[in-house]
Amino acid sequence: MRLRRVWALVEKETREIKRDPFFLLMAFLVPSLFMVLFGYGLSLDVKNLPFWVLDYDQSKTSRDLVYHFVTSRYFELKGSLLDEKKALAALTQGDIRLILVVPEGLEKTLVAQRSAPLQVIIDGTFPYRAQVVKNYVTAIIGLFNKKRLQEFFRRKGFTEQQLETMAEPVRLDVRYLYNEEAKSVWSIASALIGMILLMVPPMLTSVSICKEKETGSIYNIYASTITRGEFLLGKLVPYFLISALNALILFAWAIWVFKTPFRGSFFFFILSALVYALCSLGIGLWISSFARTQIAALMISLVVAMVPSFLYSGMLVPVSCLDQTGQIEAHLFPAMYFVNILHGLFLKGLAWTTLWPEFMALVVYTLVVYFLAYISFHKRVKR
Amino acid sequence: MAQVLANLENISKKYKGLTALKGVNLTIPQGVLFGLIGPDGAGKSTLLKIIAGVLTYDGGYLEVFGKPVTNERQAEAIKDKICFMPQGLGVNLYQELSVEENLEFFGKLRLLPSAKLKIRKKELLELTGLWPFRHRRAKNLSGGMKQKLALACSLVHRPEFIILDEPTTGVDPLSREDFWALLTSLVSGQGVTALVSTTYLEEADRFEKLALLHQGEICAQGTLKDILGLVEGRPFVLKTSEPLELLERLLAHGLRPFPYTGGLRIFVPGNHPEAQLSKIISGLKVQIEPLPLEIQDVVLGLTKGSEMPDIHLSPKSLRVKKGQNIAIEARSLTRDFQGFLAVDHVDLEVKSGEIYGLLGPNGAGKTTLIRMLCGLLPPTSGRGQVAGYNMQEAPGAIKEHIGYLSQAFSLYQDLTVTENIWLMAGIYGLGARRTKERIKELLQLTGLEAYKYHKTVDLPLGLRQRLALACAIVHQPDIVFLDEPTSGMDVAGRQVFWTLIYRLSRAIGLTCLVTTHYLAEAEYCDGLTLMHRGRVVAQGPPQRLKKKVEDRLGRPWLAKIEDPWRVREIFHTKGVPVSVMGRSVRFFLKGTRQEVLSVLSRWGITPLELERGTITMEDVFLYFVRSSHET
Repeated sequence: MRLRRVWALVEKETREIKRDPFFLLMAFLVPSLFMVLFGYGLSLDVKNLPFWVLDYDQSKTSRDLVYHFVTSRYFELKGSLLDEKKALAALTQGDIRLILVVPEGLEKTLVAQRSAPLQVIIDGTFPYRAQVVKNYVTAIIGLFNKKRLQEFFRRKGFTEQQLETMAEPVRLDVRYLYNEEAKSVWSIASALIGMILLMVPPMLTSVSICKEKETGSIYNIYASTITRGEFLLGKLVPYFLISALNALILFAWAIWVFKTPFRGSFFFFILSALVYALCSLGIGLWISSFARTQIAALMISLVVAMVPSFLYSGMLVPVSCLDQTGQIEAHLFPAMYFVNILHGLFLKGLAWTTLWPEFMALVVYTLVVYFLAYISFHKRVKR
Repeated sequence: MAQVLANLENISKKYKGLTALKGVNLTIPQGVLFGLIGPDGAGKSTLLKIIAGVLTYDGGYLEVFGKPVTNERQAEAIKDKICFMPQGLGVNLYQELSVEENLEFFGKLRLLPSAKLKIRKKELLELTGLWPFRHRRAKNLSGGMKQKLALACSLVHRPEFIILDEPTTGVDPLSREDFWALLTSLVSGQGVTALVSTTYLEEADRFEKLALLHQGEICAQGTLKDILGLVEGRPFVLKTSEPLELLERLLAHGLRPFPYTGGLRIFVPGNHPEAQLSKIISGLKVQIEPLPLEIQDVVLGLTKGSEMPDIHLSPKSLRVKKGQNIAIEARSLTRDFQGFLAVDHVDLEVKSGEIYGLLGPNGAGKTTLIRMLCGLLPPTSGRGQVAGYNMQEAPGAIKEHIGYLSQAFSLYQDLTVTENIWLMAGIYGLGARRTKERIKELLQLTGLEAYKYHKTVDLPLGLRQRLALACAIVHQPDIVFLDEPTSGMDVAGRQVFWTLIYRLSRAIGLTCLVTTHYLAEAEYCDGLTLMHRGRVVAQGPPQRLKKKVEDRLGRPWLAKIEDPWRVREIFHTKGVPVSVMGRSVRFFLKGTRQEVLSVLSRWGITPLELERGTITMEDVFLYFVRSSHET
């Protein structure tokens, strides 16, 4: 290992980066851009769901029922015209998410002390959201039923105290730990650091090497005495610095813009983020050993990084909720381990003593990636 | 006998089923300037990369510096003594880095100590004339400067074996001259070996030894003299008033005529070429003039393939309407690209039915000029008439009367030959019946009948360009513009293409305006315009231009000398046009042999040999470019 050669490469690379505005943009703007895009765009909280009411009963009870929906912060009334066609069209258009159908004779049936049907039509395009909508509807109807029950007993002369315990003998008291307000942005913003640090660094290293392959300057390397290890190290150093800086920038975004709490050790965050960035850059080095063009390098980096970090990192869906193949795949990519560390540090305030297995997994993963990158890079190529 | 530096035994290489090299045997002696000449796709780059140890090979055995190079570890062992410069203008440079920074990077990569690097850097920058530009970014250098810097960078660690892949392709003649001089000076007298590839056959005499590569095989190697001695026979130029009869007669006898300065050039093999020729042309009124043997004659004789296709002409139905006498006329045509004059006050006059050449290096403004003449690009100033229509007033009418074969590949690769012509006919609005007739005519005209159902992608370059020509003339234009149609083709392919152009011009009366950067091809034209940096530097029939240079400078001398680099410097100070050719210099001095020898001895030069050469188009171009610089 001759450090002079490594340094020559680092120096050259740094000069090129500094003088290439497009590359600088990709290196520094793209990570923050992703953070803003996904941080604001990927919110899984279901609020202000637009809905339509077809109230065929037009009675006091039906209005009271609809009122429960209107006043809820989860729903927003978009239309109440008695026109089934228009309502369905709005649902198809995506202007509303559900239609509440109050059949004629609701009040009469209830007064006759019989159980009355109520229909809700939900846009099921996204099953997850449809589920959430259904749960909200069920909860609101439950509240409505409870109130009617209490009304009935009030008229029978029960006290308020009695009404409360009779209607809800067992009262559910929920408290969210780690993410106290169950804000999805907290969990997503912190996990995004993991996703972005897997997406951008491989692009940097693989594009920088493939650019040399495209122009032909790679032959300077092939035909010279610089060793494989020196070359890979020289290519790594500048992008490692960029990625480390990006880790800090992303951390700042999560803390100050998305107001995510941070409860763990900052030192441990830095340490694991650096190992993770190293791993991610190594994936890029490995990609560049078989990709020949910058476009190919970019595409492969995106596919290798985007898909696993979106689906299998535990950012959107917990890994434990995936099916068996999904779980195996999740364990194959580094994103899951780092997202576990991130959630542990940001939300749960976990320490090294609990997170060390995840950290060691990252270390082993990194070693494997570099081994692969090293053995698949050749100075005497097949074509 | 000099020591062997690199030895290749039966080297073969395949890329995914595509054979690049089939059993190459080559011996490169130490301390020589070795040339590897071949057309695009011959396998030159593959061979050079294998020798440089940056590419694997499938079969055979390679030895460099007496050591085997069969795996990556062995290849690493030779790399401190070699350099490799890939194909393309300055492609191995880092465009964002300055001249100096590029050199420094290469020096550090080669572990040159700082003090030594500093000295070496200054030395190389001064030698290449790049010292004043040392702070300029590589991307802002001209093509010739880039190439010189790339060479300097490659040589920073004083390699013993220099491998350069097409260093002169697309470089303008002046810079090319500089480049060769620089290379020769760096190679000569230091025991350094250089292996250089080129597509230009004209460059053959720059090398001490050379090898001809064709379709992955070495078809000849040795000195230029050895190679010229491989064939018996002699080339001639024939001029006649009945060109078509002569052409058919020559083709019928299996000869391969080229158009040449208004006549036809042929190589007649055998012991008694004169007698053979007079037998062939008996009964025709032909003016015969013998020519010196050139390497292209040898190459054409050695490389089989690209057979002359069977071409039928029915001139009556195809004849271009006899219109005006002047097909193209341009006056002071100028195109300004934001302060950069791509074409600068160009005058041009092309007669109907002529083959007219537009010659110049990359970036001379040829393509811009053609695009203006075609009505594709409005001129900034100046005026012109094409096919009788005014450029400014009727660019639409011009488009109907011209055909354009663009430099960029214009065919649809996944369509068949017929489908491509059909498509072009559709674009020009030909009716279905007319299209059918026209396809039949064009297939016959270009000799593509046998390939009509072949996909374009499967055709070799020569056939594809013939198809492109067929597409360009589907609507029976009066004029066809051909922008570097033969770029990258082998000699045989070029011969077929030029003969086709010749037929179109002579039989149909089609005016052909051809651009090229092959100086040799300039001689195939009836008339010629030489362009350099957007300006016309000379105009006229090629033989007249040659004559003009000969009148001014006399015929060139070729002197074999000990130290060509020093001698070049002497000639430079005396203002004598000179170029370095391997271990010889080529220069222009008027006078008899005795007079020249005495002048040389007065300057302290004692040539080992002194021979008379002939004027080439390269001389013509350099002469006119240099004199345009002086004014």
